[in-house]
Amino acid sequence: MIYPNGGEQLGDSVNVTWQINDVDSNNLTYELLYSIDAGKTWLVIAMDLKEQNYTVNLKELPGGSNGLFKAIVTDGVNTVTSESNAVFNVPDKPPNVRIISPGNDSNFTTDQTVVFVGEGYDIEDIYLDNSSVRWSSDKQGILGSIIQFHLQDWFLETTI
Amino acid sequence: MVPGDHNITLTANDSNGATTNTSIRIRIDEVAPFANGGKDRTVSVGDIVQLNGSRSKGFGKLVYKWEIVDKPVGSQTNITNSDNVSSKFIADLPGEYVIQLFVRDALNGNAIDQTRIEAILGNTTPQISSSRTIDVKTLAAGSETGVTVVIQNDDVKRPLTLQESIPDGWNITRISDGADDFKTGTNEWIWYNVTSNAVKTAKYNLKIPPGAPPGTYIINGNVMASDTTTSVTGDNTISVTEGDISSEIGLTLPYRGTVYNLGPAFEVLTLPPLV
Repeated sequence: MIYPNGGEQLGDSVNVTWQINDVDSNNLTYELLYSIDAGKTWLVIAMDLKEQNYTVNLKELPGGSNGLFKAIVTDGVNTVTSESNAVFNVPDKPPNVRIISPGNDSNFTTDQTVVFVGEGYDIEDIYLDNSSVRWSSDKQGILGSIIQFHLQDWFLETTI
Repeated sequence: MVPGDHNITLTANDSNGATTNTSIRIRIDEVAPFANGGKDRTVSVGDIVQLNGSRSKGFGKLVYKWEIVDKPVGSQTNITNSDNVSSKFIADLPGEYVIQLFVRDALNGNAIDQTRIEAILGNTTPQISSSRTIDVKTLAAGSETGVTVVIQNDDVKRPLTLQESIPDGWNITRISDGADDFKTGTNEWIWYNVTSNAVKTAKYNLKIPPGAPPGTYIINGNVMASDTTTSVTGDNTISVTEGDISSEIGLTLPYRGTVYNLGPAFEVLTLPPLV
């Protein structure tokens, strides 16, 4: 693995390059994998590559300080791997959240019940625990945390 | 939440400390508080009258204040726990008690409701009178007549129920009655709050089915008041004569009173004059 090969601080994208030679074959194909946990698990990024480089959009991948790339090359018979020598850093991705209910510019009265429903996702954590979500009002402060949790879904019901 | 414009923000943090916010804007309009001290009702003298203001509404925690604003002359009763959502008093004398509930909400909005409690002497049998008038008492099957029932309440404010029992297949069509409710299946008129000495009048049309056999039919009626039932007096019988059966056998009769010879199965169809 030529780049990244350890210690780099990567940005939103990276052109991963590697070099593997086979003296008796010019018909090599490559597979590129990415690890966020220093090689414990691997995520396939691309397959059937013909070139010894590939530009990876890191915005769509989980971030962290234990990144590795690994290229697997085959000539149809034998397989050889080339892996980053050490871990590198990929920017952490913030959670994505949106408010499902109430709708923007909704009107209520003080004798109504308003149900707050939010939805969110974090590419690194996947599961966000209750303490990671908070509803607030600029006029009243903290309204509460979630009371019901599903994957990617948070619900807070409060009476106003 | 207090009334006004709110910027509502949903904040999420991941395990690496990254934070994302998203916001919307909502508006909360204040609704004036609403006091509900319960329905007017009739109790017996000596009863402990329970007062419940829990159906009152307002913003935040409500402050309650119960007060007797009117009571029978000589009554010594007082409200207990007058600053609770639920309270009570003893109806120590017959007559009307006017109970006022004052409610203040967290925004200092105020509301007042008054409940009237009528205390009557226990075991007093309601003195309700009622009478029925049937406009036409002899009818041909298939025709209809107007019926009027007049109910006179006594000096106690109470709910009244009139139930009319009519022969099977007969049908009632309401004309006027001012009832608060009417139960079609049992022919019951209900007035929830009939003031003392008030008169209630129920007018309806009574339709006799075309196939009703000739004969005399009875209309029974009862008036229910405070677990006491009294019978409706006055007209209660209707004589049914043979009706126009042309529709049943598929004929068009040129005029009434004609004799038709229809063979062995149908011999004579002499119809009475219309009433």
